[in-house]
Amino acid sequence: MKEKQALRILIVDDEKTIRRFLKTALVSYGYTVFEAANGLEALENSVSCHPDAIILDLGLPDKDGLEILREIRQRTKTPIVILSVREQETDKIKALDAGADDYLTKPFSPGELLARLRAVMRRLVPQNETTVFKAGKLCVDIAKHTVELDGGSLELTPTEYEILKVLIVNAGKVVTQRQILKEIWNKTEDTEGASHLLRVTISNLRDKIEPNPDRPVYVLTEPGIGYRLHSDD
Amino acid sequence: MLLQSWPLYCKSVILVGAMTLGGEFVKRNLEPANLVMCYLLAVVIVATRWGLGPAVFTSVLSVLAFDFFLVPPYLTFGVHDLQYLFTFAGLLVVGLIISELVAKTRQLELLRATEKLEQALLNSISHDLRTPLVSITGSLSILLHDASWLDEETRNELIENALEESERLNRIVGNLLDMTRVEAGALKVFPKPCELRDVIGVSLQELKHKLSRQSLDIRIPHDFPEIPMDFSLMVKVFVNLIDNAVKYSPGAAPIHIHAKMDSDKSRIEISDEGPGIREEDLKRIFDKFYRAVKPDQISGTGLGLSICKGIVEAHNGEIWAENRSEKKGATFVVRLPLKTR
Repeated sequence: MKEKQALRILIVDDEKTIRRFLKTALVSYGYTVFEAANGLEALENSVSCHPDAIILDLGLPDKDGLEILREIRQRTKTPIVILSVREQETDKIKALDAGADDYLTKPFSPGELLARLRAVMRRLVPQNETTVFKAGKLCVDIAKHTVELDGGSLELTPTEYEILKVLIVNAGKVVTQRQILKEIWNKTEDTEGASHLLRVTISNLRDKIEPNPDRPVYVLTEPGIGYRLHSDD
Repeated sequence: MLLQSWPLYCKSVILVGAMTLGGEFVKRNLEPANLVMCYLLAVVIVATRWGLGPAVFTSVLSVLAFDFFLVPPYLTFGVHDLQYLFTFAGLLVVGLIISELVAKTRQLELLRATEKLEQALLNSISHDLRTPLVSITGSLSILLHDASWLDEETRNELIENALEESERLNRIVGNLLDMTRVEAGALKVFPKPCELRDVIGVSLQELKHKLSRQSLDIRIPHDFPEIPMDFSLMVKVFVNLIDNAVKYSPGAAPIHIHAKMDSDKSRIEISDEGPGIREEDLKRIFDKFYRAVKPDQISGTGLGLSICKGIVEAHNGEIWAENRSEKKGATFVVRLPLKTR
């Protein structure tokens, strides 16, 4: 990290070995790390340590993880990444609804964790208006409204472009279907045909920007939840 | 229950009929009471082979047949001699007791067989779990204690080894959990319309490390209809099937993923160019813990395909394996309805 002051991360997990490995990984990347082994400590430290991001395990011994998440959210706007062993997407959606910024399903690699942290903390940095987004061979210039793949210019429909923009603003971070439907069409998942429209538009977007639309590498699907734009950093 | 076992009841009727017919020939020479033994024999046969229900049925039927055909006056349920009432009661009681005893023994035997099977499963699972653990602890303890004399390449190999084996361990645990869910009937399917191309895309993404050098031939028509699927569960199915295809695929031979319409259903075929599947294994490979060929270099718990079957059937779909006709190799076919029931 190039920031002058080291970014502060709070790790909440009751497993000592997991805290140890997370701490080692994060410290080696220049973060300052704080720890909490249960929900009570998590609530205290989420305020007193002034973390820039919180890594929160949902399975804590003293309190329901979702409950702690809500309580932390009431106190602070700090980005939160959930660690969960639960594979069920309903749990992830609940956590996202309760205010989590993203999630990681155990087991995960430190690389994934760092990418997630960077993505959720980007929201703390004021967005530059002339952002040029680059990932692999894809290059999007938000100011100029241009999309290029491998140097060649692409023609997107206005809706495709708007969806891509929402994904770029959240690059590296999960964006739920609900979020996209609301931002682009101002509709919910319950609106007849809305989800279908989203799927078709994403599919068309992939046909244009993916080198191989059968195996997308930029617009990734998060099953049952939404989409995630691959980001290089 | 009764519907399924009605052939057994029919067989019981035939057996009692045969005993009665035999009795017809000898009833002039023998005291009818002695013929009771023949019926008891029928009860024992039925109880040992077909279980409690048919045995009880046979006992009652025996009493009726004995009375009707072999006890004077013939061809009526009436009785001249009251002592036959004792014979009837005796036949009925003994028949019922035999039925019950034999049925209990059968249950015990079944239980013992189940225990044996469970023991075998436990052994197989602990072996599968322990093998990667041995590699992990081995690699790590070498690195922890005396890695100084190893060159960097060897050290990296040990680390990669430990990592790969942990991933394998994670897959096994995941498979066991899925299997438990399928078995317990706790597999909840929430089908929503899905783009097949998307589901396959996510499956390929999950396998991207294994597929880095694999050539793929994907043919999903652009206008393929959306299929009601539980996205995450169907990803499991395709990950398992594609992973399998890679395992048995020689060298650079491509994996084929084709989708087409099969009357009013969608049909997805995953084919490899491997050795194919022996005819007698085509059905059995979907059984739990069954593995057709066990080459040492191919690892697996034998759970993947039975999980696939559980998930596909929960979608009211079908899954089967066949050998490719035009080329060498196996094809796994998944057939899914386009409408939820």
